[in-house]
Amino acid sequence: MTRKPSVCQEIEPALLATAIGDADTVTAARVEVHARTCALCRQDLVRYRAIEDAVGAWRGAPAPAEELAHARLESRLAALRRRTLLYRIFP
Amino acid sequence: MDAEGFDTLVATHHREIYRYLVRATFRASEADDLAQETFLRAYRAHRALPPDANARAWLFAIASNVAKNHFRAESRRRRAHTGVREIRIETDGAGPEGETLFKEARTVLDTVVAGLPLKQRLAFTLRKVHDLDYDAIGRSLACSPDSARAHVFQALRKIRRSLNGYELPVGRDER
Repeated sequence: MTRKPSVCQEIEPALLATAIGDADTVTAARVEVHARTCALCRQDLVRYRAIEDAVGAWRGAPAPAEELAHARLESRLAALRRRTLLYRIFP
Repeated sequence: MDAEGFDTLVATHHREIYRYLVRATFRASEADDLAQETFLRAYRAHRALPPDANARAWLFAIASNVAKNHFRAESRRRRAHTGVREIRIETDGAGPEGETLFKEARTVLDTVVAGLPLKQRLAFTLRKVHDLDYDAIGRSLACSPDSARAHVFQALRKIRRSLNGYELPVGRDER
């Protein structure tokens, strides 16, 4: 495996933060400037952003059996409340 | 928080917590059990929750604890077993044709994310799927915000390495 130049290793956390939208504008600008002249880091930026995009599709996507799970919880909580009420009346 | 407030909490956040636990366990039936456990714990404790507390972050913290305990117990149970279980999140299989690439990418990502160490997987999911800030993630995982951030970054590095040349679809103009 080719070892990255030290300047690339140093900028890597900032590059990652930039790719996922965590970096401040100054850091992001520094990364973009570096990526313009460094093919390896440019490629890394693209790949991290692709991960970010793919994960973005998970947001708001319903999970399997979501409504069933919700109904089961409501029913269990209702039973718990009934038991609590009964205990208060007949301790 | 009163009983009515708790009902609102369930109505507002159960689905999101359940999704988080599906991502944590990769099994809907386990996620269902863990989500129930989360809300039963929350039910027992909700009266002590201050009115100005971040109830959403509080629920994620309970859910993270429940998940960690679950995996600890599961790892004890499975200590004699070796190998990695097959990871498959059930989906409904529906969707427009144009989403084929993204679906494939999601399946690849599911598998890669499932292989992450638990703390990294939880931190990554909390940050990238549920958009919690690092303070809240730190509280959820009983670590500092800096550690939470380090877990997310480590997760991303591992995901990138694990993709091992698999190119995820790129959807931005500048690429």
